[in-house]
Amino acid sequence: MAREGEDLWQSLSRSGENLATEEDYEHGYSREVRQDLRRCLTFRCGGELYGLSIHDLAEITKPMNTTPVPRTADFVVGIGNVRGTVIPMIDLARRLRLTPQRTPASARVLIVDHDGELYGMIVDGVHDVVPIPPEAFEPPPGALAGARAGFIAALARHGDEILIILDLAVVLDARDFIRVDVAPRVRA
Amino acid sequence: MSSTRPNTEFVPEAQEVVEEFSRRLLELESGQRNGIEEPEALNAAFRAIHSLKGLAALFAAGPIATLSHSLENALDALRLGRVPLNAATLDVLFEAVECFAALLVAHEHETDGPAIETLLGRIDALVGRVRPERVATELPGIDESILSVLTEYEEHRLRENVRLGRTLYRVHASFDLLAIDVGIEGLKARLKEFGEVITYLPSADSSADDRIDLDILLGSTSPHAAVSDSLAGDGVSVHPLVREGAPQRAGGEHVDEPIADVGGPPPGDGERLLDDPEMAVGHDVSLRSISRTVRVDLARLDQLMNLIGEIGVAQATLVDSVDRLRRRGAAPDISRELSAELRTLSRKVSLLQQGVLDVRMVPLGQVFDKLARVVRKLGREAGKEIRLGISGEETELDKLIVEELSDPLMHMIRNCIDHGIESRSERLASGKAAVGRVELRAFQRGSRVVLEVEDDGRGIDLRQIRESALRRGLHREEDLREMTPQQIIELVFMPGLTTRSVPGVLSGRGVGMDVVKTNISRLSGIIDVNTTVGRGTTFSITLPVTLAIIQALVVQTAGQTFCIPLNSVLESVMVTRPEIRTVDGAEVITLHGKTLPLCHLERLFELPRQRRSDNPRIYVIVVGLAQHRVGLVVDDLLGQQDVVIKSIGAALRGVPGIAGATELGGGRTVLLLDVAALVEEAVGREIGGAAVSAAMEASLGA
Repeated sequence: MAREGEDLWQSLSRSGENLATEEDYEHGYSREVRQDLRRCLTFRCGGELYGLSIHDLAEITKPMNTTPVPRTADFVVGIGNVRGTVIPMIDLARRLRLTPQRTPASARVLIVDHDGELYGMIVDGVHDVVPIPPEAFEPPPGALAGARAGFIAALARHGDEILIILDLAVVLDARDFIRVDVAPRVRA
Repeated sequence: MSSTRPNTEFVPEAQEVVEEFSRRLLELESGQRNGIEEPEALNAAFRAIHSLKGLAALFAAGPIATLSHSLENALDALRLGRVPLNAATLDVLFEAVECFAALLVAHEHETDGPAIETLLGRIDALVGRVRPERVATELPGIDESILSVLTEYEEHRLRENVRLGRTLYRVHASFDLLAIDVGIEGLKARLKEFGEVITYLPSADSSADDRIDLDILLGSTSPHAAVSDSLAGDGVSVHPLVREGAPQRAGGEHVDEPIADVGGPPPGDGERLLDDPEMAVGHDVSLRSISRTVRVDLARLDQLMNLIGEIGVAQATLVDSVDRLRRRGAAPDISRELSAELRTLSRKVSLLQQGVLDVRMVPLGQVFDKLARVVRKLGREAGKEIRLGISGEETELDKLIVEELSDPLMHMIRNCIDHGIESRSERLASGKAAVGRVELRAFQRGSRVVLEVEDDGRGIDLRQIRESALRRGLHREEDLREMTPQQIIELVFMPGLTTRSVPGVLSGRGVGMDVVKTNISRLSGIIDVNTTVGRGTTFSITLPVTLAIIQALVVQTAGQTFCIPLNSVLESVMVTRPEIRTVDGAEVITLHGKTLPLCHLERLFELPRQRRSDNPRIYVIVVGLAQHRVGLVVDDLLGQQDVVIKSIGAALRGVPGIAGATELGGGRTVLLLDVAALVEEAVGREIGGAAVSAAMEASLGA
């Protein structure tokens, strides 16, 4: 997990684990060890900050070649190949009905594991892995009636930022992947 | 975790043993019906149950152990002739097979299985029913010293042979110690042609240290000269045990010598080499597995297959690189060497691929055995006597396909028995044999396997289907009137229709032929029906031999590459634009004197056309399933290739017309077309507008 230019100490503190400090060695361990922190990957998409539990994340890659699949919704970019496994790739901004932008150079593919299947989600860039205590999560405000309200599972406060936590079950709902007008016909 | 691990080994192994047991029972039953004793089958059944008992005890599967213990007793009694083998006995034994199956399922899911007490009672009742008067057959002329070393079973078989009036021979054989396995196997095979081997006795009068001598008791109906002519020589000699016409004590001196010394050499040493039924059930042998096979999780083979696929891709990329190198003319000798090595590599990779595929292949016999039981059971339930004919059980298919086939086949067999085969009286009245016949056939045709289920029942009455379809509102009357007989018959695959043709009871069990069709199509198979009223019905299923790797035609249209499974391609032709005609607004061409409707892949998939194509030539790939043929129009044919089919994930699995994806060289992932769906779509879309169907009628009529 260590990144370049970061020492072990920094990467460990970033990981959210509790570390013994000089103080601890002198006065004994006094701080409460929190076991309930949820570690989230923060990433950008359409100018907003999102959070994804790292339990859902399989890996992060650079954008790869994809093959378009006919008869699928506009947000389905196609299929990609991750070391021999063929996975559906979606453009998250389109999926969330955000204004489409040119894919920036910082764009990454989040490979998520949902219900035992892998999916690739193209996002504008990834930031960090942050520990978030449960009390920092709040339900999406009811007044938030934007087009993508249904995709939001929760909001999470991290410092002075608000992370949007997506509901993967909605984002990756298979029923939305295939274009409605070509849904399997019942023969009559 | 540690507690589930043994179970994953136990259940499949036990299932195999139960299947073996069931197979032996079927052999016994057919023997019993024809009045032939099958001591070998009985022994094998006994052995199977014995090892099942051991297995069950090892894995603490209580009820299975109890049941097999009690069954073992019963089989032993049968073996020894204490209990007669008849239909009633077989019924109880078959019931045990079903019970084992249920118990194994329960064991796997750690639930309570069926109660076995009733069955145990019935099995024990069998053993209790000892043959009333078991007159000990006189054993004239057989020395007491022989009898004293025979086990109870061997003595029983000896008496049976005498009772059947067979001549007893002592076959003396001497084998080289090193070649004894081969020697014995060969001799055994030859002995079987003449009759039954009652026992093998180690002989002490070995001529040399490096030889082993045996005496074999053989019961045969052939005269001495015939047996001796065929067997004698190469260390083997045949002596009659009882001289004909002189039954009392004759031939004694021959027999005395080996027998007298029997106590000398440790009997275990000699006997362990033998396939003596009595030995094989001995306690020291039961833990050693008999078969030289390894059970492998299919997922592991899939992994291997994927790896091979990736090697193939890497290799294709390499070939490409070497090609470029050559074109540049750089280091010609090295690039030549590289290409030669690459060719070797590619040969080896394809051998490896074939090897892994072969591992996945299993004979259809596994399913057929299960079906034989189903036929037996359903026949009983329906009160119909049915003879099941099986052929081609050695035909091999991918394990996955075989597994997926068992349910559809069972549905079809059930349909034959419930709806196809008439009652006995009905059959006799229409001049048919009283016993109904169901044939299960498998054979390979090219790269596909054909499975046929045929009955000699009443056939499918088209009028009944028409009425039923009308009543269920599946079609309008005028549509039905326009349908060809074949189209009508195919309605049996629609949900809700039954093949039952007795008037007024159409609402009976609609044993889902639609489900059968769905399952078969999922295996990229095709199902066809042929029926003659009063004569019977044949369902035939055509399947690819293997699913994992297929040959594909690589095509290009609108700048995109697609693969088409070669087994659904009938032919591909190049046509010029002027050859295309329109019939009622739909494009068609004439091919081999028949009209072929065309459909453009780019239009079906609404692909954006990248440049205006003025190419006067187009490629038409004739794809077809049964009598539906369509010409798929593409821009270019790129070639043929073996491809590994990959899933495109749950979310995209439902895209109509796409069967999966595959990797071509150069890291390209391309889509594999689902031809059946596309054809169905092309045909279905136009029905009503009637253009394609009209063209099709025309082609059918031609």
